[in-house]
Amino acid sequence: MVRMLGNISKLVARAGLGAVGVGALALLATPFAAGATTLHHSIAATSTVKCPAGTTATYDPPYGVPASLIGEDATTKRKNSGTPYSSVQCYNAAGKLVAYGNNAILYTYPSENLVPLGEKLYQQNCASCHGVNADGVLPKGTSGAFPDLGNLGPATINFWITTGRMPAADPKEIQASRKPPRLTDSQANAIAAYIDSLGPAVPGTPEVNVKGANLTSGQTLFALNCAACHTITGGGDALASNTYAPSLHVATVTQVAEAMRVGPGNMPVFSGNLTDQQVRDIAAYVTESIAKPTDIGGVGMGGLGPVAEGFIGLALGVGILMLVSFWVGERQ
Amino acid sequence: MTATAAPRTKRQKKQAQGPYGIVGSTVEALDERLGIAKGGRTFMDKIFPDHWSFMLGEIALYSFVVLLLTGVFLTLYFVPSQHLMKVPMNFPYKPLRGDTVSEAFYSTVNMSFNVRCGLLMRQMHHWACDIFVGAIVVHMARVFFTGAFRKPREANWLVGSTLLILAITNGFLGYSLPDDLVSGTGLRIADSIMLSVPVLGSYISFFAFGGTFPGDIVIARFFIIHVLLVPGIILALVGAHLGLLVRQKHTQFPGKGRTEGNVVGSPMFPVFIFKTQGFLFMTLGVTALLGALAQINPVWQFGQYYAAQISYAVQPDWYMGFLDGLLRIFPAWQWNAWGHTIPLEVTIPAVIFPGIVFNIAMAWPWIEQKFTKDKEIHHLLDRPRDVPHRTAFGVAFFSLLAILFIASSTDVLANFFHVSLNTVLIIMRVLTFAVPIIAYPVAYFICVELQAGGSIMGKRKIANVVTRTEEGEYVATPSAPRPGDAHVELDATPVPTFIVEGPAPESDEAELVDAEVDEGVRTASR
Repeated sequence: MVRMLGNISKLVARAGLGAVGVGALALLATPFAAGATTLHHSIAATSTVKCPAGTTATYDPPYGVPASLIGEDATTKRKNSGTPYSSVQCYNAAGKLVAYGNNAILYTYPSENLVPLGEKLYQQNCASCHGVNADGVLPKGTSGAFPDLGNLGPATINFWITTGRMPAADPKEIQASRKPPRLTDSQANAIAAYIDSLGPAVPGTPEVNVKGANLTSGQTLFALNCAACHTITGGGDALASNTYAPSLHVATVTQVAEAMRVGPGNMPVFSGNLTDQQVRDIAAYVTESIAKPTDIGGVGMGGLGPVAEGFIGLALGVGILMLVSFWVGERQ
Repeated sequence: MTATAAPRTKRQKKQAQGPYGIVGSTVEALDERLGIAKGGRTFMDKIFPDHWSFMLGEIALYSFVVLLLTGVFLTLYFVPSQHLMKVPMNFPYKPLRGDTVSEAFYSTVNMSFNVRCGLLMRQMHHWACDIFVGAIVVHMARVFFTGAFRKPREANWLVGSTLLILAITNGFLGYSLPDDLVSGTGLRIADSIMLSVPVLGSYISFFAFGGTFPGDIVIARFFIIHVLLVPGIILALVGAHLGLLVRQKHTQFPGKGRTEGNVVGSPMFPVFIFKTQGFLFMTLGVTALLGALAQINPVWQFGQYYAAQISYAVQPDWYMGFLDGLLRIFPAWQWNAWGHTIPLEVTIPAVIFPGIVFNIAMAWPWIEQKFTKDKEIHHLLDRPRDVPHRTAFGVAFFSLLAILFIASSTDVLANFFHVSLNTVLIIMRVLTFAVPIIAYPVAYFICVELQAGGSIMGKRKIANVVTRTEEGEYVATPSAPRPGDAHVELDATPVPTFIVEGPAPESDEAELVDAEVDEGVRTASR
């Protein structure tokens, strides 16, 4: 009973959040609203509720998930995770979910014509671990040793391949490291098309419209959601048991948005609690302010903070002054 | 001089001022009214040993001067208030435009971006602080390892140790003022440390923050403690430190002409005063260079602090590092009894351990006396090798603090060397015990080995020539000094008398009674 009440209250809360969102959008849709954020930056409204041209809008609270993908019990599943709880969804002619009633992010899906090419590339580069059917099952070997790629959506595939993490340098590594990508972006798209053809899923590869991004909101949201692992200067740091939060200094806008929506590796999926506008703000803050920090006042210490500063202060400051005293004093 | 006609020519005017010119006549005028000659003579005749290690304390003194100068500048622009305000939309740093931040944070970022020289002053202040505490530690190490704290200088050792604690405290207070994410995290840790004190914890925390953390008063409180209270006490104690130094006179290393009964070195005037002024300018220069070329604490990149936000990889300034390090590596022990929790994982590393460290440091002169039973007065310093137990203890003590300091960057080490964080943690726990235990005997036996080499105190080092005989044996023979390289120790000569009693010499070319003022080495009896 209590649990049921809890579920109902969750549903009401989500619906309420959506309603507040729509209301706030209507109220705050003025040009100045871009900068108007409350202390807690609860809801930042930066655009009106509009679907991109050529798409149809569905108003389907409370979930921003296509009805076809929602299970009977209406819970988040593998195939529909990574979507914001938006009350507005925009579908393109092919029936793909491409936006959530805003122009901050356009989710794109690779063309079906790429599937044959994608399959070839998949078999060459990925099948040795993920299995010939992309289900993580090898002909010989332990099932489940490598991830099942089914129902992961193009954003996931695009993220892992374009950051160079896949194909992995060492498949036994606990966490695949970023490296120069082995496959090109179009090859990554082709593989994404092939995986999508096995089982359609969201989200698509996000195309982020950073033009209207609000860096101020991005900074606050970054401090609240990302800094606890990636550090406030985005340099990344070690986590428990050989895992680590990678540096964000080289990430592209698309990769930042993908990571937030799909949660690669240890990273949580940021779906329900961040709107597309907020993801856009964070992605812009990461690629503009963190990757290119305002390092006025001399040589930046690479975001290492007081460790590097203390070293410089002792080695250069105290060290040079000790040499000076050695110079002016008697030395025996 | 008898009354004559008013001086007309330049030469006559000059003569009317007496043999020491305008300076002399001014000093004389002051002496007639205030009697400064006696004190002034003591001051000018104060002998400073020339060894370079005696200048280390001056680095601390002069970086404190830099702190005062730059700090006064900062108070002109810093607003110590947690009152929230909106950042103007035309602010130079984009990610802050239109944000709601505290006035403390805004004024800090504003002085970095909009005030001429503001960022330079901020950075110089922060660098000077790092140098200040570092120089105190290095100076303290010199005093410790050479035994300069022994009777009769125990009181000055206490004053010095108190200065170190005050410097660390004030550094932490100042670090907390900008109200950015990193400093707020430090405040949160300080709050947790206060709360970890059994029974009194919550009262202490409520007293410090004027209610629950973070409250809206703590920055204003820390500000006045940081700019007025602690610097005032530091200034007074620096005065006491130097006053005791003048009263008790300097220690000195043993050497030719140096006894327990004298001090050999340069007098304040005319040698040391210019040396030390030069040193002041060198300190200013190094701080200014660091402030201009090396970024420190870019708070705009961290953003305003909210109690709900946290950044990973936050460390305190280096002098708090050993505390942070022990907090990180301490096992998660808790004691629950009678409905109360005592978080031993915080109480022990952050309250009890620093208490022990500073108590041992302050009580060291008496601890050592207990072991050596040495109640004698000492003015001649020890060479560290000649007191192997003290040296070994000091090395072990510093190595413990150094390991804990390194432990404050476990995450950075793990990330940099691609090692598991858990492994680093365990390694650090082992090293905390292993390194001091190994360091003590190693330092001890190195000292004993060095003692066997004999003393070359007061002599210049000469090369050992190693030759191989036909049988294959290696023989080391000390080489003869190269021509012109033979060291000549200057004979100690008495302090010159600058103030001449009786009628002043008439002539312009009147020389000081004792010539050779510039030669350097002087001696004074105690």
